[in-house]
Amino acid sequence: MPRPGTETLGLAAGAGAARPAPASARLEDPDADLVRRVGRGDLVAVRALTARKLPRLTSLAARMLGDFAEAEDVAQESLIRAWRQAPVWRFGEARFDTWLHRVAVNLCRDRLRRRRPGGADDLDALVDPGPAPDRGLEARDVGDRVAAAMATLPPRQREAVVLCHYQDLGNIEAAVALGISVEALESLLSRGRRALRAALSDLVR
Amino acid sequence: MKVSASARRLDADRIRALAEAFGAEPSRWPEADRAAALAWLEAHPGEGAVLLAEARALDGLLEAWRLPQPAEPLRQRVLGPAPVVVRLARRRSFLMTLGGGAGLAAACLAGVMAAPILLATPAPTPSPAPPAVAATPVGADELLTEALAGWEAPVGEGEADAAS
Repeated sequence: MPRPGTETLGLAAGAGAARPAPASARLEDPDADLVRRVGRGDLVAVRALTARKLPRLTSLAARMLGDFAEAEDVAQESLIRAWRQAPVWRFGEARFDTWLHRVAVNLCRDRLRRRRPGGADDLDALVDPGPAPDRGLEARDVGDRVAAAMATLPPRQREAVVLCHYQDLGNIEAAVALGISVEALESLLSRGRRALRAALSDLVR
Repeated sequence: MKVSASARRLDADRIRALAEAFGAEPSRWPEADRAAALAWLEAHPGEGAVLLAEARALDGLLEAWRLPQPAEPLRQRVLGPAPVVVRLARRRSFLMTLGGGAGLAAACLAGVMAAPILLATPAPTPSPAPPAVAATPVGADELLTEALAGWEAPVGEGEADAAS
């Protein structure tokens, strides 16, 4: 695995990478204009790109790591690498957001690897303290259960569910961000959601 | 589970597999399958509803896990190093752009400057004279780096102030 921040968007070799994800990410990049301006040193664009990406990156890292403080560090490090990358970004090869997700995922993997064995994720703490206005306290309780169930997933399955369900990445972008094939991604998602359904079976009506 | 987008036949089994992996919302399904899947669902509304029900229930549960949005202090902290990082990134990019050309130019310049000396110099003797020092691309890069140490890429400070 490349050092975080030096990521290219080719697919990883090895199991699950038999067929590269198609490069449809080349078509359009909604961040292209901002990235160009950041590359020219426009601090207004830096603020705009940060405002656009910071919530996504903190959510991604928080759901991966189960720790808000660490998630904020990952988000900041990812954005610093984004600002550094902007002047040399090669447009048309991949979406900037996909690359940024790959950076953040690799930073999360590094942190998870450094943790002591048995260090429990505290995903229970990662629930919005305010009740959803339309669903009241029950949503908070369900959110706690979902967080706990996600914490029990193997890391790769958790990555797949987080990227596709919570980050709304398409299957190709998610596969590229994780460095796997689209088939491997689909397999991870199926197993992950099956495990979640089993863990939450008393709530699935 | 191993599927091949090119070989698979879109049928009830594939719809079930899509729902199990990506959830019940077709907008989340792979683009390569989506149109055919929607057509199948339209043609089989009853069976489709049954196939998607379980995935839809899980989707609803997953939505309950909401996270608070980053607070303003975090945004400010993240943006703190931005001016310096952006300036250095632009400088590095500028040097990288110049690097190859400057090295070639320096090598050519060294050749032009060395030519009269070489022409006026008698045939070399076997004495262990110190080798001539020529400007190498590496040396040129070092000089360039030194010369540009005080150069600062123009950044949109004014625009930033105006927006804040």
